[in-house]
Amino acid sequence: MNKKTFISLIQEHKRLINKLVFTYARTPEDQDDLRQEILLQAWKSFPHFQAKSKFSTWLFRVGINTGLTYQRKKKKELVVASEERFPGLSSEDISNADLLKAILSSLNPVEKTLIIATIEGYDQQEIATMMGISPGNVRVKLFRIRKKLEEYGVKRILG
Amino acid sequence: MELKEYWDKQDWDVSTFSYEEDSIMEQIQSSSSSAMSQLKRWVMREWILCLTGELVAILLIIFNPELSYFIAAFFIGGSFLFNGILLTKLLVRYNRFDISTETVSAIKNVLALFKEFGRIQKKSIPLLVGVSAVGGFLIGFLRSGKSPDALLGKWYVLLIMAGLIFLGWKYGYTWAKKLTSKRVGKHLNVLKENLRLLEEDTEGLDLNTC
Repeated sequence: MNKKTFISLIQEHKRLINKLVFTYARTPEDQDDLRQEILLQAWKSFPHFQAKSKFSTWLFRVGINTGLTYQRKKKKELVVASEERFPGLSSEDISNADLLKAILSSLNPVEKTLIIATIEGYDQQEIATMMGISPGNVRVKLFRIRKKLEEYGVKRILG
Repeated sequence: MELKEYWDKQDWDVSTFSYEEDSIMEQIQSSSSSAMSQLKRWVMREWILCLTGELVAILLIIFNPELSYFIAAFFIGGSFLFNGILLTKLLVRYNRFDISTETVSAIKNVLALFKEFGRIQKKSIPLLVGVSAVGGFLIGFLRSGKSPDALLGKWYVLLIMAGLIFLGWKYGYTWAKKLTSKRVGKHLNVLKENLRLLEEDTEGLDLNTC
């Protein structure tokens, strides 16, 4: 496991890192900070990666942990951000990125983590293992999130 | 409307970061700003300081025949040696933690480690001061080749030693605690606050498997 391997794996999974960064940080500056922190933590933890799971799953775990920590630091700013509302989600003048940002900012960090894990295709058992909670708890939390998202006109998380 | 639709519509390849080899290298060579990493860097800095202090003390003991220097060197050297051993233990245990995951259990482990470090310091500093001072006196005595009467006749040496023992016994731990708190207190407070927020965010759930 050397630097070259790590760099090529990161380049291969840059989409995943971009998704994590987008989920947990709002401004471009914050996104740069968070990306750096994720890359750094992934590099430091790379010796612990035993290839028992896929690299993407491992990177996702490192990413959500770093993201959660980052959000705690930025909690004050996020409280303000969560007060933003985009009532007309279907409006043409709001970009897709803005819509996603609005939806994500209405959720707390754990809810965001559950949402992106679900969208990224992890099943409830995998999410439960990753987050150290029971699959039943994942189901309950996802149910609550769905209810919460309804006010944004989001009827379903997945198809 | 389906959330995944919006998610998939987003162009995730677009980023302000290039993901070129050089850019990734630059990012991973920087220093982490997390409280866990900063605390680890503090332990390493202290450890290096202790090793340097110990080396200086040894050089003084070897090259300076003056008794008073012996006492000072042994006293300082003893303190550095003891702290160095403690910090080595702290560093070894800290290295076992995966600090990339600032989880409830990881933060609790680090806080417990520093609490234990403080407890050992509290118990051992008075003892350390006494042993170092007496040790310095004995080595000085053996190296001087003078009679015990002549040595003990140096009243100021005895006075300095007695003073050091008294000060160390009475205030050693308070000083050490103040010094340590000043330097690590900020990071420990950040960790405590993170722990509180994490427990609040996860409603008591432990994310230790992440």
